Amino acid sequence: MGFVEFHNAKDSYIWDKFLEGNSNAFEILYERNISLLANYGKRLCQDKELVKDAIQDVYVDLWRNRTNLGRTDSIKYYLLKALRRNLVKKLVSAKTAEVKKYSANDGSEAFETAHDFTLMTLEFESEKIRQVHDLLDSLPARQKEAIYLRFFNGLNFTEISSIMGINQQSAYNMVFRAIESLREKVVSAPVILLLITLLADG
Amino acid sequence: MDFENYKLNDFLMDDSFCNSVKNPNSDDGLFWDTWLSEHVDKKDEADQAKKIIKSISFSDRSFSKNEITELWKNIQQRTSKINKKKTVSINFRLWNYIRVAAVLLPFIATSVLFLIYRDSPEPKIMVQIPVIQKINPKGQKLTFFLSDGSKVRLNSESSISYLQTFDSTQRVVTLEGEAFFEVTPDSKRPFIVRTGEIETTVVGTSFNVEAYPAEEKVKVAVKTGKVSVNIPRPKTNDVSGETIVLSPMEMATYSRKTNKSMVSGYDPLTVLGWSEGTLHFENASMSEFILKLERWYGVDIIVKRDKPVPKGITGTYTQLPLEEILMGHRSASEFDYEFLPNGNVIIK
Repeated sequence: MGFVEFHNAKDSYIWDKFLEGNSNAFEILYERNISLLANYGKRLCQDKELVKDAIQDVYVDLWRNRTNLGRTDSIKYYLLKALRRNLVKKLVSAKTAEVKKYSANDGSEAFETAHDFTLMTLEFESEKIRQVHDLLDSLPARQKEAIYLRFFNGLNFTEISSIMGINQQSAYNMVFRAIESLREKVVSAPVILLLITLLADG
Repeated sequence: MDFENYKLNDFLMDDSFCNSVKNPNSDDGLFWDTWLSEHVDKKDEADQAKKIIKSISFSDRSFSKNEITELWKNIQQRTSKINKKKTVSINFRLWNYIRVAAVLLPFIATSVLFLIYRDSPEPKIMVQIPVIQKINPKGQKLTFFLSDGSKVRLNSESSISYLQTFDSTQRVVTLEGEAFFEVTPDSKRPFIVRTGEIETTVVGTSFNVEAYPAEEKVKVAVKTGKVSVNIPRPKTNDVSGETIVLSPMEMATYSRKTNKSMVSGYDPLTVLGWSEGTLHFENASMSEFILKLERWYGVDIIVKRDKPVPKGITGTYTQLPLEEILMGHRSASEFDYEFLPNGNVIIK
């Protein structure tokens, strides 16, 4: 591969090169973000092939529209948002095709059932860690999605609200409520405090 | 910001703090490192927040290495197709420049002769205004503004050229294909759309011009305001032939074959729908149907059947994948389809 110079380059540099039509930079954009997109996509929708199609569309559109794109601070936000939009569209039309009519359909409903933000099961799973995870697991799907975007992908509230198509206050509230219940556990149950200490040692 | 009052929750909700945990080497990471070393009383709560953030982990569900490589190959295949189209349009663009140059040549020559024969040493600076050209391949639409503020929505497989800044007497654009115009009113400078045979002149209005070189008919449909259309006299290209004045909701259809034109009403959804992202068919023939789909989705559709479709195709679609549309008409119109790996379609 003849594009060693890109491999350690900053995201913003890669993006600029990509905007100029550099296909190596485009490939780096793919390599750097594919796991992120696969992870998010497969949590939104169980159908792996559909997720792949959507990711393909996202990248093809990205390449096709690059001359109309501006500079961006957060490529991963841009890609996650594009993927979600594309997947919703696909899921809605898949649903519409079933009933064989093209009426306006609210995408969120079809989408909701597909949510699956299952948490990682740690190998050294102790009772305490499971409690934290159980708590997170018991959250409503959309709340979990917000938590996922925030703590797994490190997005800010503006980005989360834009991706999920909700206003910024709702995104904030979703994360806040989850954090609040998490904290209640942490503060009220000494076992969890213990867990925190254990984690610190580990 | 008074971080001094931060409690556990506040740390957890703070964008910059969360980022500092995920990326300790970022600016945020450095900031919070420094801040916490100066505010040791907040260390406990900040540490708790850090641990919570770190304990929220999700299982990895990425694709396998093979799947990732395979997916990239598909993407490359599709993007290389886009690249090829670009090359074609660059040639096309060059040709258009030559055409513009050919039109301008007599004027330049006359001016030069005039200047020479005037025998005057007076220095004249000729400012050359750049010609802008926008070209859409199949599957792409574009909205942009001209120097006078007029808005143009250019349909797929269409191109338009115009001077970067219009002169003081008229605003001229040259169109091949289809575009919807919302013209800024300016009674002193008529807005003229040249499309090969016919010329459309307006002052300030919105209207659609459909003039694909490969198609027999040229259509001008008016949404608001008044539009005058110049039709050439038969067998000459003299644009001062016949003038038709169109009112809102009227459409002029000019036949290239017969050189005849007629005025009628039109269905706004069929004619203008594309400019708002709606693909509409009203009792369309199979060939019309396919041509529109090819342009809209940027694919080639190969027809391998000899039976005509039993009846016209009707439907309205907004942002639907191509396959949905084909699926919806498959049984009614008695055809079958197959997607090729490169995204093209065979109709059987």
